[in-house]
Amino acid sequence: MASQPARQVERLLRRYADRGVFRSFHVSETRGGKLGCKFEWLTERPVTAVYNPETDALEFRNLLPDVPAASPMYSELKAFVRGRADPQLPDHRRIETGRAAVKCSNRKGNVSIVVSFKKGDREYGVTRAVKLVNEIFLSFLRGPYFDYMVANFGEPAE
Amino acid sequence: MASKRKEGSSKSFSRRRFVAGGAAAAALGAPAAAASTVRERDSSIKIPSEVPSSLAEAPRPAQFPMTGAQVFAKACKEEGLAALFCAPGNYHVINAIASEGIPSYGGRTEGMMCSAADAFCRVTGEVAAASGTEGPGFTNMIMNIGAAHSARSPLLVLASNMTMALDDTDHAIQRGYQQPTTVGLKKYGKRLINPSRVHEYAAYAFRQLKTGIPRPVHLDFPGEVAAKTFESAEDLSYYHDKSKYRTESKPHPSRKDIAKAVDMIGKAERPIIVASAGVFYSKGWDALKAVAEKADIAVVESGPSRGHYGDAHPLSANTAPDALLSADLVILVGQYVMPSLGEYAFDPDATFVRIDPDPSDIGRNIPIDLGIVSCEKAALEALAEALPPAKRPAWRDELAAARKAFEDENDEYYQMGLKNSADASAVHPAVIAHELADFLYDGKIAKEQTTVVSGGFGIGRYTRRYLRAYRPGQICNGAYQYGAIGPDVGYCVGVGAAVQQGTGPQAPYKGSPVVGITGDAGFAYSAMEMETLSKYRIPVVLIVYNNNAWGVWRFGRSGGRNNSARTYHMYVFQENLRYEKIGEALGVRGEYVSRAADFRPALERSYQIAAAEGVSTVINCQAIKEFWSSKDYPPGFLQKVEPGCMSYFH
Repeated sequence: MASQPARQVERLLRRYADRGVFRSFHVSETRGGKLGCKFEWLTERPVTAVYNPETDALEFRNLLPDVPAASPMYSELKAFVRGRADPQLPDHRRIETGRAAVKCSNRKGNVSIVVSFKKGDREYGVTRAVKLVNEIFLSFLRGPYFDYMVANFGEPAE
Repeated sequence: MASKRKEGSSKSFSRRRFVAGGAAAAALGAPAAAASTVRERDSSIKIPSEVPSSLAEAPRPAQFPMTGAQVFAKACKEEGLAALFCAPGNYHVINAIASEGIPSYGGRTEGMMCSAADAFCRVTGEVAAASGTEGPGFTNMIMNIGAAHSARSPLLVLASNMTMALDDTDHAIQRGYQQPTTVGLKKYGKRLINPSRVHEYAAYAFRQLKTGIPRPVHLDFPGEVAAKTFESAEDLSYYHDKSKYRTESKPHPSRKDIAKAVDMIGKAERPIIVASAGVFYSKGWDALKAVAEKADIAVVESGPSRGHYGDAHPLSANTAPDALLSADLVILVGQYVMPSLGEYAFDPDATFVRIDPDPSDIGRNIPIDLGIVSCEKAALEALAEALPPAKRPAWRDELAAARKAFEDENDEYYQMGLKNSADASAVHPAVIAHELADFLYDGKIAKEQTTVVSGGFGIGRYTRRYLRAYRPGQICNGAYQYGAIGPDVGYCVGVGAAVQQGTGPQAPYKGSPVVGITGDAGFAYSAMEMETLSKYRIPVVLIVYNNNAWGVWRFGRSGGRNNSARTYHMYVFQENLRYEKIGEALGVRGEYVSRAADFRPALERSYQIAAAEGVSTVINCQAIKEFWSSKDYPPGFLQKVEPGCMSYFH
């Protein structure tokens, strides 16, 4: 049975599905108290989000494939993610490090984004995590990564 | 350079003529010296006197007795059909339309004339027609009708179609059923089969073209209809004034919907309006400005043309892509081509309002929080009246900061472009884009003056970032939505004709030169229409970005996509092709630019001659395909962010 925090995270994510932002949303995993959700969102490639109540963190698992850990793209992605906490950003775009912490991980070229919620502020954390992933696709990857999007996300070559 | 080449070719031509003349004289047994008295034919490229003389003729509107074609043409005139673009064929109909005094242009292919008509619609908001002959002339237009359909252009497609009497036979040539061919590419279509209903079907056509969401209408004319003679109106089964067969009435928003929108705007901190095709076609730009300024609402454009909300306005987000992600309320107005979620760069928590005349489209692709069925202009006027004044200084500041960041990035790209140009001994697209913008908007020309056909594939991803629009219809988005890169010269004909005629929002700039941008791949599809530009003295400066390859050449590399082999040859052209010489051979000027520093002077010369003499120029800008490599020549091939100045999908 899902824990109270997991149910809260599910409810927060399902809100996007109810509004039509996430499509084909379904809960795929509840083992060990973890919550797994799968849905389609910005591309045709399904997104997997896993909430771990032990660490109180939401992981967008294997969000970006084919990004070698030693590649300039991965370095730039990490810098972009770090930059989301820049005090120069307006409040509505900034991730407050006192309320949520973000890190990237890379396993065999598959990049995951993990957002840890501080002080149990899950509403803030989930919202910021979703915004962050949105910005990765709609801002960061729309930089010099045209060929990457064509090859890995089925974006039109033209 | 161009004149030198002309002299050279002229000398060699004379030498050949002399030798040939001497040989012919010798064969006839006459003294060779007598050959010099043979009158030489003038071999220079020139516009025949029939062109200006026929254009100078007074219109000859038809009176009863009239043919079916003349009845139809008269209906077109009554409806204000703004222009006809055609290649010969469908003779009854095109002759009748031209005789009515509707501006008419004859070009080299039906397809490109169809694109000319499409572009004319896109920058004027008026209905234009394209015509072709039956069979191959009609099918030559298919890609271009598809592009007009995607762009939601009010395009009237006309084609002759043999005779009904011999339908289903193989008698003569060019038979074919046309209407099934345009299924999915039109709003309405009809093969006219009852001659006495020809005026009625003109009414069907214009009712569709002038109401609701515009899209092409396709009519095909069998000979029995076009050539049928009607002695009087009594021979027609339906012959009414337009006030009897359609209405100028538009859907207006409900008070309840407007009240809800006002409430949503009041609660929003960073509202933004996406002003698309419907704002342009409803001529809602003044109402849009009133709404934006009254409540400090940002505005970003999308659609097949730009300028209905000028880039210079402090609330414009056209060149502020990073600010889009900050909007908390998005109001889509007249967004006929609907993006899906993730195609527009908005925040997942933003709420959406959609204003559209067609209730059956509201809610498609992007879920809405409020839908308003209304003519765009009527809804904007209602909002302007109902909205309480509001100030959002923080939002204005954020827009300004985002615009500055974008311009700084463009400057950075320009510096990279200069370095890349020097390193590669070729012209980088960032240099072309920057210099073009500097010339058009920061030089001696009024920044509102020049209408631009923004085409091309890879080059378009640079030039769009630098091109600006300051008034409605200033930029025609060439490859819009259908992604056809080929019609760019056809689009130049249509936009050039619109400016030449001073139609709609082009009126203050009547006669000004037009600038077109295309790539070497695209140019190949429509280059012959340079001759049409020359024949009609439509002044266009056409920039051809020549990188020796299709824009997608990267996908042909050996070992690349799908570990392919024996593929690269399919993606590249011969290098250093001289497209400007095609222009010269077709009666326009040619410039070849292979160094960054030479581009601006070539542009200035070309524009000056276009303005002074009505002569067009092809500027062939020599680049290399490797400029699309971000590793070797940063920033490489550019991605886009929509909506705003980079848009071309939606």
